[in-house]
Amino acid sequence: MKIRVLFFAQLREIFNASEKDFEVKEGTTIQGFVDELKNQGYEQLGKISLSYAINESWTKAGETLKSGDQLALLPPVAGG
Amino acid sequence: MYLTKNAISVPEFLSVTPHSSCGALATFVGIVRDHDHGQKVEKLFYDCYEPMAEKQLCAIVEQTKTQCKVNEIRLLHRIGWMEVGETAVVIAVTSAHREEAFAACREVIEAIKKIVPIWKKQIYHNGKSDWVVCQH
Repeated sequence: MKIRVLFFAQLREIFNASEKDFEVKEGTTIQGFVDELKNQGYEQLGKISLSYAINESWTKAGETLKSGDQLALLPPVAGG
Repeated sequence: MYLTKNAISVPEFLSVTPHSSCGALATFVGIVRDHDHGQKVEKLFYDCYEPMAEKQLCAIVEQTKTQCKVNEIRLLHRIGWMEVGETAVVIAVTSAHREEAFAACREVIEAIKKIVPIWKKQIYHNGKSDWVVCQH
């Protein structure tokens, strides 16, 4: 199934993109997806304390991804 | 809308007349400063997940209004590139009495720093840059 992943801040620079589509297997969790990215050469992700949002709402790493989800990988925020 | 890519005019933002039941107007203005942890800052870039940030800011305003029992909370957060001395965020709270207005103003800025998906990149005079990790 296909999901869309959104990148912000340093992640835009790591992936050289603001968003990207990925094919993932049914039952994949966010944590599983991120671990897969690390194995595919994006090991820098391991150095960033990530939070996650699906379809614009905060969620947990254990959440299972669904087809069409828009997953945002969120580094520590620093507004204000 | 709580986000803007344009320069913020604080006098213009504060020109709204408070409701006649309000005896207090508390404000917070966040300004781009020229240093951080001993390094000279030249400019900033605020990245933002805009649709989610708008929702989070709206939720912060509504929750804080209820929690602190204030009349009105207005805020504007700038995103994009900013120079030293420019206004990054402005918050204005009106209430019957000062205690609630001060408390709500602080509550809003602290919540922004913790839960709104906005990120700050600092560009230093020596040409280096980094993404800021707030200590909250």
